Amino acid sequence: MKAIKVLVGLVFDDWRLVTTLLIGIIVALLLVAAHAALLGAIAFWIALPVSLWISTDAELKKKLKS
Amino acid sequence: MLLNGFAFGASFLGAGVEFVEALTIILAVGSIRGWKSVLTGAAVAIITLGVLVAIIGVPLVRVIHVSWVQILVGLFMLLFGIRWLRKAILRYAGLKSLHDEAAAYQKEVDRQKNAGEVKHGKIDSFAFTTTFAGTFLEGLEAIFIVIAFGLSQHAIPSSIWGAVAAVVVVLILGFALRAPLARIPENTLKFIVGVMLTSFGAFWLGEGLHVKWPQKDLSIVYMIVTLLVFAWFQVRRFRNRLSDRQNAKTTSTGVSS
Repeated sequence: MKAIKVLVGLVFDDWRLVTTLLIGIIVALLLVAAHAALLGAIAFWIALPVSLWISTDAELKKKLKS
Repeated sequence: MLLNGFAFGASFLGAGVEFVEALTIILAVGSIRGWKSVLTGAAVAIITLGVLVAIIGVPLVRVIHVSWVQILVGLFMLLFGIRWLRKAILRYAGLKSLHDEAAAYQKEVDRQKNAGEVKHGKIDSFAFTTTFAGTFLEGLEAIFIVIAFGLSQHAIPSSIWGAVAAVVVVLILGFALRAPLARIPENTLKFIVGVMLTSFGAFWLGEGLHVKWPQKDLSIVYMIVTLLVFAWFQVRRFRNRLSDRQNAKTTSTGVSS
Protein backbone atom coordinates (compact mmCIF):
# COMPACT_ATOMS: atom_id res chain seq x y z
CA MET A 1 0.00 0.00 0.00
CA LYS A 2 2.81 2.38 1.00
CA ALA A 3 4.64 1.54 -2.23
CA ILE A 4 1.54 2.38 -4.31
CA LYS A 5 1.12 5.69 -2.44
CA VAL A 6 4.74 6.62 -3.13
CA LEU A 7 4.40 5.72 -6.82
CA VAL A 8 1.20 7.76 -7.21
CA GLY A 9 2.81 10.64 -5.28
CA LEU A 10 5.79 10.51 -7.62
CA VAL A 11 3.57 10.82 -10.69
CA PHE A 12 1.80 13.90 -9.31
CA ASP A 13 4.79 15.52 -7.54
CA ASP A 14 7.11 15.25 -10.47
CA TRP A 15 5.11 14.74 -13.61
CA ARG A 16 7.96 15.93 -15.84
CA LEU A 17 10.21 13.09 -14.76
CA VAL A 18 7.53 10.43 -15.19
CA THR A 19 6.22 11.83 -18.50
CA THR A 20 9.69 11.95 -20.07
CA LEU A 21 10.44 8.42 -18.87
CA LEU A 22 7.11 7.24 -20.28
CA ILE A 23 7.90 8.84 -23.65
CA GLY A 24 11.29 7.06 -23.60
CA ILE A 25 9.58 3.73 -22.88
CA ILE A 26 6.99 4.26 -25.67
CA VAL A 27 9.73 5.18 -28.18
CA ALA A 28 11.69 2.08 -27.12
CA LEU A 29 8.59 -0.10 -27.57
CA LEU A 30 7.90 1.36 -31.03
CA LEU A 31 11.50 0.69 -32.06
CA VAL A 32 11.26 -2.89 -30.77
CA ALA A 33 8.06 -3.32 -32.78
CA ALA A 34 9.92 -1.96 -35.84
CA HIS A 35 12.62 -4.66 -35.35
CA ALA A 36 15.15 -2.10 -34.11
CA ALA A 37 15.56 -3.48 -30.57
CA LEU A 38 19.10 -2.11 -30.21
CA LEU A 39 17.88 1.41 -31.03
CA GLY A 40 15.07 0.80 -28.54
CA ALA A 41 17.64 0.12 -25.83
CA ILE A 42 19.58 3.26 -26.75
CA ALA A 43 16.37 5.37 -26.70
CA PHE A 44 15.50 4.02 -23.27
CA TRP A 45 19.04 4.60 -22.05
CA ILE A 46 19.00 8.23 -23.24
CA ALA A 47 15.58 8.80 -21.60
CA LEU A 48 17.14 8.32 -18.13
CA PRO A 49 19.46 11.36 -18.05
CA VAL A 50 17.06 13.41 -20.21
CA SER A 51 14.16 12.92 -17.78
CA LEU A 52 16.43 13.79 -14.84
CA TRP A 53 17.73 16.82 -16.73
CA ILE A 54 14.23 18.20 -17.41
CA SER A 55 13.02 17.50 -13.89
CA THR A 56 16.01 18.94 -12.00
CA ASP A 57 16.26 21.96 -14.33
CA ALA A 58 12.65 22.82 -13.47
CA GLU A 59 13.66 22.85 -9.79
CA LEU A 60 16.62 25.12 -10.53
CA LYS A 61 14.40 27.57 -12.43
CA LYS A 62 11.97 27.64 -9.47
CA LYS A 63 14.86 28.41 -7.12
CA LEU A 64 16.30 31.14 -9.36
CA LYS A 65 12.89 32.82 -9.68
CA SER A 66 12.30 32.85 -5.92
CA MET B 1 29.45 -39.03 -9.67
CA LEU B 2 31.39 -37.23 -12.38
CA LEU B 3 30.72 -33.55 -12.97
CA ASN B 4 30.09 -32.24 -16.45
CA GLY B 5 32.67 -29.44 -16.68
CA PHE B 6 30.82 -27.38 -19.26
CA ALA B 7 27.46 -27.48 -17.44
CA PHE B 8 29.17 -26.71 -14.12
CA GLY B 9 31.25 -23.81 -15.48
CA ALA B 10 28.51 -22.26 -17.61
CA SER B 11 26.02 -22.47 -14.76
CA PHE B 12 28.59 -21.07 -12.29
CA LEU B 13 29.28 -18.05 -14.49
CA GLY B 14 25.71 -17.47 -15.72
CA ALA B 15 24.03 -17.88 -12.34
CA GLY B 16 26.95 -16.05 -10.69
CA VAL B 17 26.22 -12.90 -12.70
CA GLU B 18 22.58 -13.03 -11.57
CA PHE B 19 23.60 -13.58 -7.92
CA VAL B 20 26.03 -10.66 -8.04
CA GLU B 21 23.20 -8.44 -9.33
CA ALA B 22 20.92 -9.59 -6.50
CA LEU B 23 23.74 -9.04 -3.99
CA THR B 24 24.23 -5.48 -5.28
CA ILE B 25 20.58 -4.65 -4.57
CA ILE B 26 20.72 -6.33 -1.14
CA LEU B 27 23.92 -4.51 -0.12
CA ALA B 28 22.75 -1.15 -1.47
CA VAL B 29 19.34 -1.18 0.20
CA GLY B 30 20.60 -2.89 3.36
CA SER B 31 23.28 -0.24 3.91
CA ILE B 32 20.72 2.54 4.19
CA ARG B 33 17.53 0.81 5.37
CA GLY B 34 18.93 -1.80 7.76
CA TRP B 35 19.66 -5.48 7.30
CA LYS B 36 16.69 -7.12 8.98
CA SER B 37 14.00 -6.25 6.40
CA VAL B 38 16.46 -6.68 3.52
CA LEU B 39 17.54 -10.17 4.58
CA THR B 40 13.92 -11.13 5.30
CA GLY B 41 12.93 -9.98 1.78
CA ALA B 42 15.77 -11.99 0.22
CA ALA B 43 14.98 -15.06 2.35
CA VAL B 44 11.25 -14.98 1.48
CA ALA B 45 12.16 -14.69 -2.23
CA ILE B 46 14.51 -17.69 -2.00
CA ILE B 47 11.88 -19.75 -0.13
CA THR B 48 9.20 -18.79 -2.71
CA LEU B 49 11.50 -19.85 -5.54
CA GLY B 50 12.35 -23.07 -3.73
CA VAL B 51 8.67 -23.91 -3.30
CA LEU B 52 7.98 -23.11 -6.98
CA VAL B 53 10.85 -25.36 -8.12
CA ALA B 54 9.75 -28.14 -5.75
CA ILE B 55 6.14 -28.01 -6.95
CA ILE B 56 6.60 -27.32 -10.67
CA GLY B 57 10.16 -28.55 -11.33
CA VAL B 58 11.75 -28.17 -14.76
CA PRO B 59 8.48 -27.07 -16.53
CA LEU B 60 8.81 -23.84 -14.49
CA VAL B 61 10.54 -22.38 -17.57
CA ARG B 62 7.27 -22.68 -19.51
CA VAL B 63 4.90 -21.75 -16.65
CA ILE B 64 6.36 -18.40 -15.58
CA HIS B 65 6.84 -15.68 -18.18
CA VAL B 66 9.99 -13.97 -17.00
CA SER B 67 9.19 -10.87 -19.12
CA TRP B 68 6.22 -9.96 -16.92
CA VAL B 69 8.28 -10.30 -13.75
CA GLN B 70 11.00 -8.16 -15.34
CA ILE B 71 8.50 -5.44 -16.32
CA LEU B 72 6.90 -5.31 -12.86
CA VAL B 73 10.15 -5.38 -10.88
CA GLY B 74 11.95 -3.09 -13.35
CA LEU B 75 9.23 -0.43 -13.30
CA PHE B 76 9.08 -0.49 -9.51
CA MET B 77 12.84 -0.13 -9.09
CA LEU B 78 13.22 2.43 -11.84
CA LEU B 79 10.58 4.75 -10.38
CA PHE B 80 11.94 4.49 -6.84
CA GLY B 81 15.57 4.76 -7.94
CA ILE B 82 15.14 7.75 -10.21
CA ARG B 83 13.22 9.58 -7.50
CA TRP B 84 16.11 9.07 -5.07
CA LEU B 85 18.63 10.07 -7.69
CA ARG B 86 16.73 13.27 -8.50
CA LYS B 87 16.64 14.20 -4.80
CA ALA B 88 20.34 13.39 -4.45
CA ILE B 89 21.27 15.65 -7.39
CA LEU B 90 19.20 18.51 -5.93
CA ARG B 91 20.77 17.93 -2.51
CA TYR B 92 24.36 17.98 -3.78
CA ALA B 93 23.65 20.99 -6.00
CA GLY B 94 22.47 22.96 -2.99
CA LEU B 95 18.79 23.14 -3.99
CA LYS B 96 17.92 20.95 -0.99
CA SER B 97 19.79 21.31 2.25
CA LEU B 98 22.26 18.52 2.99
CA HIS B 99 22.26 19.39 6.68
CA ASP B 100 18.48 19.34 6.98
CA GLU B 101 18.33 16.03 5.16
CA ALA B 102 20.90 14.58 7.52
CA ALA B 103 18.97 15.88 10.51
CA ALA B 104 15.72 14.53 9.09
CA TYR B 105 17.37 11.20 8.47
CA GLN B 106 18.71 11.06 12.02
CA LYS B 107 15.28 11.99 13.35
CA GLU B 108 13.74 9.19 11.32
CA VAL B 109 16.39 6.71 12.49
CA ASP B 110 15.71 7.73 16.11
CA ARG B 111 11.97 7.43 15.53
CA GLN B 112 12.38 4.00 14.01
CA LYS B 113 14.70 2.91 16.84
CA ASN B 114 12.16 4.03 19.43
CA ALA B 115 9.30 2.46 17.50
CA GLY B 116 11.39 -0.69 17.13
CA GLU B 117 11.62 -1.06 20.87
CA VAL B 118 7.84 -0.98 21.12
CA LYS B 119 6.95 -2.83 17.94
CA HIS B 120 9.69 -5.41 17.84
CA GLY B 121 9.89 -7.19 14.50
CA LYS B 122 8.41 -4.42 12.36
CA ILE B 123 9.39 -4.75 8.70
CA ASP B 124 10.43 -1.82 6.47
CA SER B 125 8.07 -2.35 3.53
CA PHE B 126 10.30 -0.56 1.00
CA ALA B 127 13.43 -2.52 1.93
CA PHE B 128 11.49 -5.80 2.03
CA THR B 129 9.70 -5.28 -1.31
CA THR B 130 12.82 -4.08 -3.15
CA THR B 131 15.00 -6.98 -2.06
CA PHE B 132 12.22 -9.53 -2.41
CA ALA B 133 11.55 -8.38 -5.99
CA GLY B 134 15.25 -8.16 -6.91
CA THR B 135 16.17 -11.52 -5.39
CA PHE B 136 13.08 -13.24 -6.85
CA LEU B 137 13.81 -11.98 -10.37
CA GLU B 138 17.53 -12.76 -10.27
CA GLY B 139 16.89 -16.13 -8.63
CA LEU B 140 14.32 -16.98 -11.30
CA GLU B 141 16.79 -16.07 -14.05
CA ALA B 142 19.48 -18.17 -12.33
CA ILE B 143 17.07 -21.15 -12.18
CA PHE B 144 16.34 -20.75 -15.90
CA ILE B 145 20.09 -20.69 -16.62
CA VAL B 146 20.67 -23.83 -14.52
CA ILE B 147 17.80 -25.65 -16.28
CA ALA B 148 18.92 -24.49 -19.75
CA PHE B 149 22.57 -25.60 -19.34
CA GLY B 150 21.55 -28.74 -17.43
CA LEU B 151 19.11 -29.87 -20.13
CA SER B 152 21.39 -28.99 -23.06
CA GLN B 153 24.25 -31.05 -21.57
CA HIS B 154 22.00 -33.73 -20.04
CA ALA B 155 23.70 -32.86 -16.73
CA ILE B 156 21.23 -31.17 -14.42
CA PRO B 157 23.19 -32.14 -11.21
CA SER B 158 26.42 -30.57 -12.57
CA SER B 159 24.53 -27.44 -13.52
CA ILE B 160 22.99 -27.24 -10.02
CA TRP B 161 26.43 -27.66 -8.41
CA GLY B 162 27.74 -24.82 -10.57
CA ALA B 163 25.01 -22.54 -9.25
CA VAL B 164 25.63 -23.68 -5.65
CA ALA B 165 29.33 -22.85 -6.03
CA ALA B 166 28.35 -19.41 -7.37
CA VAL B 167 26.10 -18.83 -4.33
CA VAL B 168 28.99 -19.64 -1.97
CA VAL B 169 31.39 -17.27 -3.78
CA VAL B 170 28.81 -14.45 -3.89
CA LEU B 171 27.95 -14.90 -0.17
CA ILE B 172 31.65 -14.59 0.74
CA LEU B 173 31.83 -11.45 -1.43
CA GLY B 174 28.77 -10.04 0.34
CA PHE B 175 30.25 -10.51 3.81
CA ALA B 176 33.53 -8.95 2.69
CA LEU B 177 31.82 -5.86 1.24
CA ARG B 178 29.40 -5.23 4.10
CA ALA B 179 31.92 -3.55 6.42
CA PRO B 180 33.46 -1.12 3.86
CA LEU B 181 29.95 -0.05 2.77
CA ALA B 182 29.04 0.90 6.34
CA ARG B 183 31.79 3.55 6.31
CA ILE B 184 30.36 5.49 3.33
CA PRO B 185 28.55 8.72 4.39
CA GLU B 186 24.74 8.55 4.38
CA ASN B 187 24.12 11.12 1.62
CA THR B 188 26.71 9.56 -0.68
CA LEU B 189 25.24 6.12 -0.08
CA LYS B 190 21.74 7.33 -0.96
CA PHE B 191 23.16 8.84 -4.15
CA ILE B 192 24.84 5.55 -5.09
CA VAL B 193 21.71 3.53 -4.29
CA GLY B 194 19.64 5.90 -6.49
CA VAL B 195 22.04 5.25 -9.38
CA MET B 196 22.01 1.48 -8.75
CA LEU B 197 18.23 1.09 -8.50
CA THR B 198 17.69 3.29 -11.58
CA SER B 199 20.19 1.31 -13.65
CA PHE B 200 18.96 -2.13 -12.57
CA GLY B 201 15.31 -1.06 -12.92
CA ALA B 202 15.89 0.33 -16.43
CA PHE B 203 17.79 -2.81 -17.43
CA TRP B 204 15.08 -5.20 -16.24
CA LEU B 205 12.24 -3.12 -17.64
CA GLY B 206 14.08 -2.98 -20.97
CA GLU B 207 14.64 -6.75 -20.91
CA GLY B 208 10.92 -7.25 -20.25
CA LEU B 209 10.07 -4.98 -23.18
CA HIS B 210 12.53 -6.98 -25.36
CA VAL B 211 14.95 -4.17 -26.16
CA LYS B 212 18.40 -5.46 -27.12
CA TRP B 213 20.89 -4.17 -24.56
CA PRO B 214 24.38 -3.86 -26.04
CA GLN B 215 26.64 -6.50 -24.41
CA LYS B 216 23.70 -7.73 -22.27
CA ASP B 217 24.22 -7.38 -18.48
CA LEU B 218 27.27 -5.15 -19.01
CA SER B 219 24.76 -2.45 -20.03
CA ILE B 220 23.99 -2.03 -16.33
CA VAL B 221 27.57 -0.83 -15.80
CA TYR B 222 27.27 1.53 -18.80
CA MET B 223 24.04 2.97 -17.36
CA ILE B 224 25.66 3.42 -13.93
CA VAL B 225 28.57 5.31 -15.52
CA THR B 226 26.20 7.43 -17.67
CA LEU B 227 24.12 8.42 -14.64
CA LEU B 228 27.16 9.17 -12.48
CA VAL B 229 28.72 11.39 -15.17
CA PHE B 230 25.38 13.12 -15.80
CA ALA B 231 24.77 13.71 -12.08
CA TRP B 232 28.29 15.11 -11.60
CA PHE B 233 27.82 17.44 -14.60
CA GLN B 234 24.37 18.59 -13.43
CA VAL B 235 25.53 19.24 -9.84
CA ARG B 236 28.47 21.34 -11.09
CA ARG B 237 26.26 23.29 -13.48
CA PHE B 238 23.68 24.00 -10.77
CA ARG B 239 26.33 25.06 -8.26
CA ASN B 240 27.81 27.48 -10.80
CA ARG B 241 24.38 28.96 -11.61
CA LEU B 242 23.55 29.42 -7.93
CA SER B 243 26.96 30.91 -7.22
CA ASP B 244 26.61 33.36 -10.17
CA ARG B 245 23.24 34.40 -8.82
CA GLN B 246 24.70 34.92 -5.34
CA ASN B 247 27.56 37.01 -6.77
CA ALA B 248 25.10 39.13 -8.79
CA LYS B 249 23.03 39.74 -5.65
CA THR B 250 26.10 40.72 -3.63
CA THR B 251 27.28 43.10 -6.36
CA SER B 252 23.86 44.77 -6.73
CA THR B 253 23.59 45.14 -2.92
CA GLY B 254 27.07 46.71 -2.86
CA VAL B 255 26.23 49.17 -5.66
CA SER B 256 22.89 50.25 -4.13
CA SER B 257 24.43 50.81 -0.67
